[in-house]
Amino acid sequence: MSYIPCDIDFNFKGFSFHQEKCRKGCGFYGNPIWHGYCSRCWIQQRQKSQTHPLTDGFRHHTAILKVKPEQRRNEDLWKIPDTARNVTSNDGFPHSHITYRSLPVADSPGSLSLLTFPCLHALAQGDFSDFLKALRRPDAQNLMTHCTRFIQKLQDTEILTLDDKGEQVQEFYSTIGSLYPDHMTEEREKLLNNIEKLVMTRLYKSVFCLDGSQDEQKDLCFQAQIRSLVWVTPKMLQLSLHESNKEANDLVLSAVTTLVEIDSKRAPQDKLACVSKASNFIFKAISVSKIEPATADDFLSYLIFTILKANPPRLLSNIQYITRFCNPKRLVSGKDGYCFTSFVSSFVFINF
Amino acid sequence: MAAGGAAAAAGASRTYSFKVVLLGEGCVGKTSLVLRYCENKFNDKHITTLQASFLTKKLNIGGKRVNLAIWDTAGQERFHALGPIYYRDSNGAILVYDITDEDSFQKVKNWVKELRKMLGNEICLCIVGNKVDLEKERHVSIQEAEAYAESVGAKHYHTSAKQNKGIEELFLDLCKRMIETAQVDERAKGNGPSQSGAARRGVQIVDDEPQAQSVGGCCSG
Repeated sequence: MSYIPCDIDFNFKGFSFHQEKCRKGCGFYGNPIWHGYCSRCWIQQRQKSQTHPLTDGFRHHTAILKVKPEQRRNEDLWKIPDTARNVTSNDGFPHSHITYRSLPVADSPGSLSLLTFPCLHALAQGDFSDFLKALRRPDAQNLMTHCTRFIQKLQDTEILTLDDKGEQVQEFYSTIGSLYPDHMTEEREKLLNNIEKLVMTRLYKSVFCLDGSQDEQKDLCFQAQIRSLVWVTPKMLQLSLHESNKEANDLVLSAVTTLVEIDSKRAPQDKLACVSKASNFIFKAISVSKIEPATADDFLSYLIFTILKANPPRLLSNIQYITRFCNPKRLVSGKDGYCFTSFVSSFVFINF
Repeated sequence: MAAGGAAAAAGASRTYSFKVVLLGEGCVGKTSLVLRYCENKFNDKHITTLQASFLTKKLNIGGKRVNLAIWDTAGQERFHALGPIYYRDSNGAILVYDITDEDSFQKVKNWVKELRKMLGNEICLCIVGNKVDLEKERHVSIQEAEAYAESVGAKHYHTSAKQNKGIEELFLDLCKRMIETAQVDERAKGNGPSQSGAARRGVQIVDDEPQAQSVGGCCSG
């Protein structure tokens, strides 16, 4: 059963900014503050974007997309793909033949750089519903259009592998993340989390465990394997869990339920939150069955036991989905990162 | 690999976020060490934390703010192969052995080899001989341990979690070294503090393909 671990991509793609030459390929060096362009190309680019704020960066692409800005403002965000399809049939916009070729995400820095400071600030306030409200602000239209186009584009392409799509999504996050200056780290993370939720909820169906894919087979295979390990007892894993300790057993049961819930969530951060929640139940379970604080050995053993009992549906697909599409910062740092790392470790351990 | 400290400039002062992994065999006192450091407690009934597997500590070293995340790793032999999943992207590693237990020192040597192979020289290594309060039962000679540490480019420390000896120094020293490494890294990227404009994309959590492959390769049992 060694093939499954090999297939997990542990490569948390992140913010990668090593672009040196100008993105326009003029031969001069580019600069991150000019979105990777050299000074001259950036000025040209900006002039273009000032004359055509909404279409900047898209004009030289090839697929047809017609946008009527007035209409966009009133759109219900949750209907993005449908409305995005509708707008293609609308006319009346001056640049009715805006074309775009498999849209490299970072290709529209012009339109995004028009986002104002107060707007960026407003987008990073409050919870997700506040974010959606802020996204309807007139000055946030560029961001919304950017997201809509990106979602549309990823849904339309069929040639890309899921890994490629993951990379594009990560690139998309980092483009948006780069809008914030350094001292606004908190706001940046908040906005990125909201963007992640927005984009991934829409994309979920087109990137998660597609019907008839190999992943589906592997998931089934893995589930069968866990089922065959039903005879494993806490003692075999050297857990301090005793049948008589009702409180601890209840907590483990709560952890089991939470792990099963992972599959029902759509956004990577919500799936990740389930892993953390389950981990907290496990830590509590350890604390009621043992005097000393839980060590990594305790935690991992309990987590393995919990996974065996939960047999979470589509486990491999869920792990891959989180690693590909989650805001990478959450995966490698903080308690969420630790819990997820342990979760992946447990998964690998069971597969040995 | 650009794991060199996710440093974000906040005005004049900077905040560094470092990940440190804690490696070592089962009974060498890893947990006591880190609990002593973060909670200043040892075998205490009043330890408030539920767990000692993931702890954080905020430091201010000469005006530089450091967020330290300490990741405990499973030390049992059966979990050995899972190591790479934990120590990927870490800035520092604390390898703990028990001075009364020769085997635990051998284990540290194995970890060092593995870390150097997987992460190269970018990771700051600390080899820690714990339980110096049991000096009478010492089985690992000081000379041997220090010579070994030097030969692999690691620093060696003597600690006692029980008597609270050498622990502050260990972490402080490690943080300073990690800041240095992160600064060298930044300078190499031309991303230094002087160019505040270029530093606006300061958060770097990039991982490269070779490492991912090596992790995969290791996990295929």
